Amino acid sequence: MMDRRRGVLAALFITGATLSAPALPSPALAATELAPGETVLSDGLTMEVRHSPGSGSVALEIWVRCPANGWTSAQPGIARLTALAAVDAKSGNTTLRDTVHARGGEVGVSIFQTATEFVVLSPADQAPVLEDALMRAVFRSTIDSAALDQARTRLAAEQAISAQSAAAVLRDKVFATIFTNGPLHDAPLGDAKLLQSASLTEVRDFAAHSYVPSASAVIALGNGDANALRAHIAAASPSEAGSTTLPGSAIGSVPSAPIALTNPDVDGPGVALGWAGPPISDRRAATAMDFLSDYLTDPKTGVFANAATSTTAGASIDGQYVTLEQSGLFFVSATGTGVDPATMEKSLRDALDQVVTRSISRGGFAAALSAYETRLLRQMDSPQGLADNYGWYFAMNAPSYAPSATDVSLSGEYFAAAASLTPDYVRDVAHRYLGVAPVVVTITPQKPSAAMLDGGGS
Amino acid sequence: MKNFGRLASLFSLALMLEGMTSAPQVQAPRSFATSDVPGLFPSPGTETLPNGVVLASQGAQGTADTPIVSVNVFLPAGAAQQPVDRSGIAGLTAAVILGSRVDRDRTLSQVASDAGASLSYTIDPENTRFSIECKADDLPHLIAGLSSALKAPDASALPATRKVALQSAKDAISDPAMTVYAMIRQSEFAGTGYAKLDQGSPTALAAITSADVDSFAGQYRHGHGTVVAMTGDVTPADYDAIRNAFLGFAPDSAPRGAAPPKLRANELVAHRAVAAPWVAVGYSVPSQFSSDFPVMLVIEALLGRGGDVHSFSYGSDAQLPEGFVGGYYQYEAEPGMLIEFYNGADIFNELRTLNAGVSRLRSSTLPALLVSEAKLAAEGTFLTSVATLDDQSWLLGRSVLSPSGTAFENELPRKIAAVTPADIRRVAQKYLGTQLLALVSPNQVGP
Repeated sequence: MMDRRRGVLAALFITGATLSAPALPSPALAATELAPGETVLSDGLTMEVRHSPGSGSVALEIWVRCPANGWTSAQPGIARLTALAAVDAKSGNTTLRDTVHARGGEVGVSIFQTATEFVVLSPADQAPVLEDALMRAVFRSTIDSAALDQARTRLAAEQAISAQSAAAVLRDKVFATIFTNGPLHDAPLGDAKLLQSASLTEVRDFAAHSYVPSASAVIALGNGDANALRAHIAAASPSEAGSTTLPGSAIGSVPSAPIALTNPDVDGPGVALGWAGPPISDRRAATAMDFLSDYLTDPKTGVFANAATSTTAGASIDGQYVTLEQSGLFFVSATGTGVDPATMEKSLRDALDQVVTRSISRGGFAAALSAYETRLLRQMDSPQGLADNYGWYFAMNAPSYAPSATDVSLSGEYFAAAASLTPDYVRDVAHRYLGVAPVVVTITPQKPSAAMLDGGGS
Repeated sequence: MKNFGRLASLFSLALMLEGMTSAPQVQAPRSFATSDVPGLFPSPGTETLPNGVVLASQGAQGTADTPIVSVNVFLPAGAAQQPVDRSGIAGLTAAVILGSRVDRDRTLSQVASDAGASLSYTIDPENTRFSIECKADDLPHLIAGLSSALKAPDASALPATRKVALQSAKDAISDPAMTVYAMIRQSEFAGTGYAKLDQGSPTALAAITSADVDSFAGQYRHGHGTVVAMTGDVTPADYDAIRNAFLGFAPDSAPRGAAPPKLRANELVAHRAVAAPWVAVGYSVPSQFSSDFPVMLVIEALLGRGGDVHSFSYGSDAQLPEGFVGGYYQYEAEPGMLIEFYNGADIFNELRTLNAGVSRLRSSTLPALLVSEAKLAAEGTFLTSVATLDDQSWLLGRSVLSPSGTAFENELPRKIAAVTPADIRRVAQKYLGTQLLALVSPNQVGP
């Protein structure tokens, strides 16, 4: 499954952003099979506009395929710094953030290792105006030093919060261990070093290189006028397609011993396990891993959750299969007061053994598969939930495989793959990908010992 | 309504004090349909059962684009209906319902989790609300389980739920924002079941018996005042299951809480181990079904929103609004409460600014442009708050409970759009003249 988680103005946005001729639908430019309803404009911009009745809002999103750690993999966090600056950059006398807030909407950015997401939750009747503002902020960004300063402040706060979360630290370390280089190696938030070193020129260069139509998808989903939104997107799309190629990330060997982290600032001890998984091109196996992710890590019913709370009352489970264009990554962490990392590791691995070596009973499997589908559908019970899902699968270069590309009868590639799963096939996939030695990372909330500082730990 | 956290003030009070200093700009007009067109939200179908239970279904029967259904069951016993010496019983009773065994040894909550569904409760001022989201095929089974538990709450679930409730109550007491909120509640609603926090007091929670739980659950089972709102893929089988589940409710109305006394001008102080002072300024304001409600939403936008109406709600999925600052409009209570929360070293300057701003709202007519901007924000905030299927079924249920019925949700944006500067001055004069100030002071030994 996908990787997750106020004012004045107006006239400015009624004009502008239409200086170039509207981009036209051009399916021939589509490099991959699109989801139903998706179009690729003549400048390479992918567009998904879908009317969804009932809500009062429209989710407006732009997803960009770009590396979070920079095009040379040397600037961890540059994508987030740039995206935050774009939201706070002045165009005319206002910013995207203020424009959206003045209309009662919300704006945000999410950064993943190989993708940047801009999202505006717009009141339904304001969607065309805010769509124009969003596209201008991204594709014609005017980042200045004031916007960059604001972005630095926001990012510093985010980094500080993340550094206190044992689960977040463990997850980042699992990624960094399984992927030895490239964008998947580094944490999307980056580190404090970037806040000091990134210049305005570097941030502007990153935006210019990354925010190009050929690497981007614009998604508008909700209770808005779909035709009007399509027209606004086409009119606001840049004429230059741009060109980018994402750097790759190599998979490393699994360390023979657990990686021990010590950090006095984290919120508790914990342990994480991680495995490389199938690429998104292996649809059925990737779907089986999604099912396993739900079956193992659901906080209420998951096999890992039961094992963790049986071992340490109150332990928190965080886990997911992150479907990626190349090899995916399955991780699970158990954290919380009283967690003994070594004991917890054994409990989790013992619980997993049951799933890797034995097929789930047919009755149990049918119920678990239905429950998994339900939880997945519930994640998409809002315009933003649906739009996020479309965006993630665009970013993974597999738009037609998006679970959101479905309907009341569960049509579409994804749910067809889910329906094809059997207990034996799921066991085989579990054995193939989770039956091997995992990357193990432990963390304890204490200062590093002298031995660790000398190289005994990470 | 559910939103992302909102902390920034839209229109600074300094701006209000100085008048509009920015250049006049053209506001994009709202494009809501006129009164002869239905509006943004689809018209629901409704049915009133012989016992008074109202069923409302929206956007279903072929129009859904997901096989998921969302149901919100509004039962006519909320925080305000609690006996004054049993604060917390509303939450405890709802938790016992979820913990009741309905499927051999499986509790209602477990049955829902097994199906991948969500089943939660929220304690509203005048209702206990159970929310279900699941595949349409799974709804009949879950509704049957809920119906069974409502009829006969499982006393064996009381010890475990009491333990959780006690911890929630203790957590609330130690939180400074919750403490100042509790002080406002206690003063404004003294003598009623709504005076204490929804979490309840540890003393009262410890004293609650299974007979108390049975008695409170008995207040649920009245037809008049019960509303079941459904959105998404509501199939005929789902609808029939819901109809059958609620036919057994008594054909009468539930007893309601006594009207609270008038708000008294007051200042309250408590002490907690906090690093900086925490202040809440409360006003007794119109509730959601008052004709002044749309105007109050615009005033809320002018003062700067902080969180949505459920920010302080207690329920199975709720978390404490830790570190809450900004505005909070609790319009589901009767009367409503507008509370502004501040913390930090500069709170007394902020209080002076608030008082000057409120004074201006009451003493002068605001520029039309400023009011126009605030209306735009207020309307937008309302619309974006209706996002998930659960939001939709919650809003539908509220509409059914409102005096204007199911038209409420489509009328509200139009009513906000019709607010005038004179309306704002009138409503501010009517409601914002008396304030209650609650302060949590740091570094002292507290009560």
